[in-house]
Amino acid sequence: MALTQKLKSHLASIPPLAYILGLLAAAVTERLAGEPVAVSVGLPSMPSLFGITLSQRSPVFLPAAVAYDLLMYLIPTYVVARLATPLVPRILERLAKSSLRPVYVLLVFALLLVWGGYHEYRILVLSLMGINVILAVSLNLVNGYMGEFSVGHAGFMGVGAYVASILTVWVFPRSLGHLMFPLALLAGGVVAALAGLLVAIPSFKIRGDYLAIITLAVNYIIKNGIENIEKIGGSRGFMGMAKLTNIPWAFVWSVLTLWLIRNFVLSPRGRAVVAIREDEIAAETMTVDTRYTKILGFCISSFFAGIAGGLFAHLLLYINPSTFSLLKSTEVLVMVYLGGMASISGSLLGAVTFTLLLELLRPLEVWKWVLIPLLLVGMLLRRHAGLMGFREFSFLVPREEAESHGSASD
Amino acid sequence: MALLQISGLTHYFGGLRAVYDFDLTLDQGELIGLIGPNGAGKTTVFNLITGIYRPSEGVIQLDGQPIIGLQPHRIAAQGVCRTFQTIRLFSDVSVLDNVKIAFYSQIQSTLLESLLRTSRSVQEDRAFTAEAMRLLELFGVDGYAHELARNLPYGEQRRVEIVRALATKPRLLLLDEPAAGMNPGEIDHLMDLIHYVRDQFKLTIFLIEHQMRLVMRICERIKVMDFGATIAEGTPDEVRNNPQVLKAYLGEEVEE
Repeated sequence: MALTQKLKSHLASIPPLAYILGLLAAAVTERLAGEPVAVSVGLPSMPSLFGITLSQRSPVFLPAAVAYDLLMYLIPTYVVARLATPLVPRILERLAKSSLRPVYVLLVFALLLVWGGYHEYRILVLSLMGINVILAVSLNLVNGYMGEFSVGHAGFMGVGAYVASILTVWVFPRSLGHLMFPLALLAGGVVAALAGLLVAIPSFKIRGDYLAIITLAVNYIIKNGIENIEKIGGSRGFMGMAKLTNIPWAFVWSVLTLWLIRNFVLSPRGRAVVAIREDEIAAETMTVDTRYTKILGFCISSFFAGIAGGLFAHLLLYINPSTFSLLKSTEVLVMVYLGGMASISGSLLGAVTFTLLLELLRPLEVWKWVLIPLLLVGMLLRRHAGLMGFREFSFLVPREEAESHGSASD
Repeated sequence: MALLQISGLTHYFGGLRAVYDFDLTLDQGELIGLIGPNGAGKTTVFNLITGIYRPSEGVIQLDGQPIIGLQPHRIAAQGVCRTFQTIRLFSDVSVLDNVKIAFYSQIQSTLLESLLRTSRSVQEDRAFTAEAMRLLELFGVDGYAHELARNLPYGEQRRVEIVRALATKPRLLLLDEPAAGMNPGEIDHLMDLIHYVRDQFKLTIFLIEHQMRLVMRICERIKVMDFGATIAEGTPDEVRNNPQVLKAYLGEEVEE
């Protein structure tokens, strides 16, 4: 007990910047020496995701995978972090306070690129992670901050996916791939937001919990609607997209989403969203245009779901209507509740955890859909607000601003 | 011209007549009380003025302009604000943000500026914080600024509710049983506070109250309601000795 306590406080004494530098060093080392080290500890090839997939194929590889993780990740990270610790105060001194956050963002970006940029499977997992972050944060705006209950996020994701794909495949010249990609994504987002507007106007006409049932229906309508449009493939799906989604795009869009939604919830308009959650009549009495605010929040949320859809389509290169069924919506709900309500940090954490969990539990196939809800229920019993409910990491939302959404910094 | 002019205000809930033929003229700077037994229709009058209910009949004019049919937030933005009988603070939000939410109609920066967090929107937010702190300080509750509203003692929550209402820059303040659940000492404080607010903010105040001591001491005029109808109106002394009022409050046979 005393030992773990001591270890904990020791590890906590190393600053986050040192850890990032450590991880970066580990990723560089792996890139240089990963293959030979993997072979020497007895693995058939370099593990793609900490040896999880290899161990799934055959448990025999488990000890070797653990050895590899120790040698390749844990030890180098720790050593470099430890060595970098005395340097960190000096680095921080040199940096202006305002440029600190961009520096962290760039370092994390470099880390993801160095670790995953040359590896197909890692690119896939990291891109999915980014897409999930966008989905979770945007849904949290409605379900967490506004206190409404939307269950059809995948519907708007599907709208964005189809619009962006149609644009890149049929409309935009293929040679301009990456150049036109943001435009296609934005168009997908805008159309998804318009779909959101169509849903929001009747849903918020009267007070009460109509949103859940309406979004449920809309999710089905969108799915069945696409199934019946033969021109875009109907239930056979749509393909022909170029592989445009990669780590940089997924990273840029997820950071952009985090930043914009964070700014929004910290702004006076965002506070009005929280006021609606707390007491709609009191909010209205305090001059808040509650109907407009709810519609606005819902459209922003749908917009980002559409962006995520476009990224998703250009990652998997094949979409069909059932990809965007209620199951996908449920996945996003799980990420939001796992991470915690009304918390940007929570959605980030929830999406990352969920993405890794899905990869970890892949061999269970359908049974993972039994296990994941059980895990969620178990966790919510212990921490009913989710991992980070109503709290924020201070690097995302500074302490003095965190209370804006009734949450404390951690 | 009267600040608020109400005539023939009538409201039905299904077959139940909650308010019947209610008239009121409020001039700038007046402090008027509305009393009556439970269920007399007092809070319904407030809900009709603030636009939460739409009256079945009647006219409500603010500065001579009809306000019936306007959404509650529009009426609030025109300077009619209220507190609630049961406290309705945003309980899981800090006291400071409770007050800052009431600046909504004063937001100048655009949505895009909010999303991009431009310096103009940050400046505006800082100005809101400063103004909210000034108001909280004025009422001696600035010490609670970073506390969640739900954690405050009852009396302080009432105070914060008044501060929050004042943040909307009202001209007419409607107080719904501000002394509910307060002990005599707290009521004395509250009376001073109401006088102070009226003088400091040049307000017109219309209040519902059960605590006779408070109503009789601070209101210049009192209206008495029973079963939706106005049964008496006048100075505190006139109302106190009105046999109909005594009947409504004490029952049929009046014996001194």
